[in-house]
Amino acid sequence: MSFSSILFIFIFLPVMLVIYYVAPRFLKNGVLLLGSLVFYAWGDPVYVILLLLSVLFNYFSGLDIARKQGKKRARMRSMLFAVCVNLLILGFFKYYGFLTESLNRILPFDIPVWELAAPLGISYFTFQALSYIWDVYRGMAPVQTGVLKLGLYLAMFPQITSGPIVKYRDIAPQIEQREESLGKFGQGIMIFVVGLSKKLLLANTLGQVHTYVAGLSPDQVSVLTAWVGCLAYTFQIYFDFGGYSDMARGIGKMFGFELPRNFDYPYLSKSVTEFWRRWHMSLGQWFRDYVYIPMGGNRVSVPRHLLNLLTVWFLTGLWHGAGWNFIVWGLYYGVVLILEKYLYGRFLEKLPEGVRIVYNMLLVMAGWVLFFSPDLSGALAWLGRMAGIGAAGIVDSRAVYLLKTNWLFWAAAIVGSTPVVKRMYLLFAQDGKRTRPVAGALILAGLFFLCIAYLVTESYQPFLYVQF
Amino acid sequence: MSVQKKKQEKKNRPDILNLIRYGIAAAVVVYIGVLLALRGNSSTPFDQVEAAVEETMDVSTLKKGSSQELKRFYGFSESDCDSVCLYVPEESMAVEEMLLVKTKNGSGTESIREAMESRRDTQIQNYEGYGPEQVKLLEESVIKEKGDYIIYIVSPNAQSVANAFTDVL
Repeated sequence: MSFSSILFIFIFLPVMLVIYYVAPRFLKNGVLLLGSLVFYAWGDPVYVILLLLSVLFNYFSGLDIARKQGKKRARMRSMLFAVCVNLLILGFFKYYGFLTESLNRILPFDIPVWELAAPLGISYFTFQALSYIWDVYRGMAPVQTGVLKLGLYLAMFPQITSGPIVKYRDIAPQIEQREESLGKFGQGIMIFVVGLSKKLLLANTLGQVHTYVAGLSPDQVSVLTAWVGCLAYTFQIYFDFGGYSDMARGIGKMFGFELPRNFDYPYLSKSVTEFWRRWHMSLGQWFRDYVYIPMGGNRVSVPRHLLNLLTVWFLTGLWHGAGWNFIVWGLYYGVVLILEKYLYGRFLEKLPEGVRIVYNMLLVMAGWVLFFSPDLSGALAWLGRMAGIGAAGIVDSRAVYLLKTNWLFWAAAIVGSTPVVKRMYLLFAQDGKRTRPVAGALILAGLFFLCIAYLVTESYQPFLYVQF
Repeated sequence: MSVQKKKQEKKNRPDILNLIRYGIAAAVVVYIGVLLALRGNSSTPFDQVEAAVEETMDVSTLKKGSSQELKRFYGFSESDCDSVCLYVPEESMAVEEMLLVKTKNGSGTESIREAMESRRDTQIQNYEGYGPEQVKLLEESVIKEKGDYIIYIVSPNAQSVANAFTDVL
């Protein structure tokens, strides 16, 4: 069940909200958990069993770690066992096929390839489980003695399919106690509608441009067409994932939760270092807190720091997908970050802001080519065409057509990547310190109406980040 | 009882909490084993599955669909899948169609299924009111999946084609 579907918007979410608000306080967490399991089962009921087993395993693991207070070695063994089991589950469903196929290419014999479809959201709920285990182990959060509450943390439907990845210590107080209010509910609706608009009006439309260009044969792709296709994907993935994250945050607010932001206008970054502080922030923070800092972070020798960075970026790439292009994508960013840190970062800071934004965008777009290409050779071929190698001319009518016919969406995407839209909304919806609720509601209602019109007429477009 | 004896007794007592943890971990292994047995991916090559399906389905009134048609009708491209075979009608008023997809490693068939259902629903909407035969054929269409294969069939003998699909895998 997708957030941007008629079923979710008009049936599942309203029913959930009614039941939640009618339920007494002591039942609210249970109601939300039950609803989350129904949501999860909608995709493939059989994987609910895995989710429940994961909840139970991590619940008992947390209890075991907590009761071994004062026994350092026993605690560590218990924690390591829990971490290993979680990683093995993730590893089997997501990476076993990739690993065995890669090994089979070089080994003189064949390892049998057993594969199952990856359960929905496995990367997300496994990382949240690891967050719980580590936070309890390090004493950063008290052990959760209520299995339903831990289940809610791992399975909560606003964020199980595509994040944001919420650290246990950040959300634990809200699971215990939170306040719903009309103001929060209203903000939730607003953020949800904005997210829905990003996904349906911008991501889906520009995604079709990218899909069209990706489907062309190489002899049909000019330099400009290659750039148009890449730019379309650049906007598609931002508004798709950013839109989803907004919807998740909005839904969370409707139920009284404050979920973290996942994006902070990343395409305005003036360096790749800054980009990764603004893009998929929850994942970056997870790797920083649970991998980079435990490895020593930057408070180590230079060679060790380089190793730490490359390890984190190798894992970041691998998290995104079981494929060599994702690993290369991750390492690509690791290398760029190292270069910015140790080679030309200071020189970069002296350049004009506009130049730095362009610098970042070029590197990010090149990264996206690695990301969306089915394999490395495809990525190199696309990058080559962008540089004029193997392209069918510089400019062709196809590229001009794609730019002209979608000019409104290109303009909206560019403006939507900046805080301008938010400021314009506030200009209409606020008059100094007073709010204009009617004006604000009309704008949102108009956006919502446009979204529903798109929903009923367009073909199926899944969320990109659900595949992770 | 001496303190040492008490400690020894405590050590010998089964650790219930850890037993439960190991039990759940074992349950996960069993669960995965059962899933593999029921849903594990087939080693049948795509060509073989395609041939089996083509043999049963009457493709004389159909033509092979292009990558643009795949994108237009289903919203995804060939590069999103391991292998694809699409048949679309040659005549504009016909609705017979077949889409056979082998998904990429670990990506699952859910999103493809949703795309197929969306295509079927759109076609039903298109023909509702003036094409009762087409609507009936669409309503009797079959979507079947096995392992990493999924097929969508709109045909008078859709069930036979689905059986051929299942049998070959």
